Amino acid sequence: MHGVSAETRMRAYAELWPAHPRWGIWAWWAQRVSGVALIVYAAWHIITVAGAARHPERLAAMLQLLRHPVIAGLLLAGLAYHSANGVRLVLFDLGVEAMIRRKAFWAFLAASVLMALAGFSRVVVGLR
Amino acid sequence: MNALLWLLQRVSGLVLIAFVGLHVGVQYGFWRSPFRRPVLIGIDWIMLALVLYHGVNGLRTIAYDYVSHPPTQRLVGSILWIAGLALFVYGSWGLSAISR
Amino acid sequence: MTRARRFRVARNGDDASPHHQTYDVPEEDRMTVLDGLLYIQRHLDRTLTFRFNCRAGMCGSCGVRVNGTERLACSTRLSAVPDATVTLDPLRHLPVIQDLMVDMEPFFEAWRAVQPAFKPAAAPDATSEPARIAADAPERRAIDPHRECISCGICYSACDVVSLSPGFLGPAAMTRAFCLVHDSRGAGADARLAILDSERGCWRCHTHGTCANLCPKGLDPTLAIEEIKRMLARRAVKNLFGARV
Repeated sequence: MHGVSAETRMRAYAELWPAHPRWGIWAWWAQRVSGVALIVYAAWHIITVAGAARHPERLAAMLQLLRHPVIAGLLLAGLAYHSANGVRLVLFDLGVEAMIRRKAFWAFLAASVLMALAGFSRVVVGLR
Repeated sequence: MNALLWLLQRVSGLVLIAFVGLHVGVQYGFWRSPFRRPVLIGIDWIMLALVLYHGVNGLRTIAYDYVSHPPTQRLVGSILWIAGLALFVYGSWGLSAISR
Repeated sequence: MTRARRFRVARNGDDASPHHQTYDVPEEDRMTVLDGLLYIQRHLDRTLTFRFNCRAGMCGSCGVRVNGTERLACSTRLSAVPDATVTLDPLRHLPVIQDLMVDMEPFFEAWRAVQPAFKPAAAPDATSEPARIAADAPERRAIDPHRECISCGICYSACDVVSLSPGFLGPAAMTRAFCLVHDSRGAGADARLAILDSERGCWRCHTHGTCANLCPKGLDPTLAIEEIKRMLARRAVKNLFGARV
């Protein structure tokens, strides 16, 4: 850091306790858990849709399950978080600074959640 | 190679945000797709490839974290890529069946 | 009238199995964790083992975990520690020699693996001019934020990928490699980049950022590793198109 003496920096270090220094671990775990859940779901989705001609009842069962509020909610939540955090990571890779990354994450998450709620209410509750 | 896999993970992730968003929105009847059916099938096919790449590469990354023995790493990686390819072939066939 | 601060210090070695021993230390104004350890050693328990040297945050000897958070003992005021009890544990991922003293060998093995010594690009002779690199040169601006590593091992202890992936080079070694790769006076960039590109290297970093949050010198190894990834990605793309053309 320029313009800050070594003494000032060490005093700042000595007197301050980092709040949540390990938050990045939780973000990463959530990214992994949501990612694994999404790929497992995607594989099942692909197999079911591709096999729809021979097993139409499986496709119907899948579509029915996707209308269940808990299933739909979990999937959309996982998708919302995974993509919002993904955006944050790409910004990091592009060298964008921390404050902007944080804002982008929350903005993206909020937008995804709003869209998910709208879709959710339409499908599950039948609102228009 | 590692660098290209890493780069493609980012690119596929970003493209998937758009494509999956479109797909979920259309499927849930949230909006009607502005594209004609052949374009939608094309988008679905690209999405299939990208989802399988992104997901398989993600699983491979996780596996490589836990397995440090290079031959075992390569074995697990190969199994995952083959499974992904198989799903891609099956999914493509299914899409072509739907498109007729 | 000074109040007593309770210390719970990890004891390991000798005959007893690993345990925490409790001491009550009179807390004076501006006292640090290291002051507390020295008080215990001088007045309460001469067998307590820990490392320290400069007491000024420069030598990197006194890295410990304070209530689970990696800190330099000499540069952590007791007034800053949030809990009433100060629990001290040795750094993670390093074999414990005794009590709070750890064997830094795994850390330095990773350090050595990146060829951490500067190698001049051309052997200097009697007619060589000193290298001239302006303070605002791009390489200075790239390297300066990452130079002041005191190899205290805090980042290595804090990094969860080190827990997860055996052989992971870790934040400090890769930051050192980054500085050398960018140094225009030096040779060996390709060899170092090859090590960084390996399965021990930068691709195992998942940008948790814990290392950067806890570095006592304010370094940001996550950022340095991101720059390495970008460098490797640019090279790979260039090779891809270069190979075609």
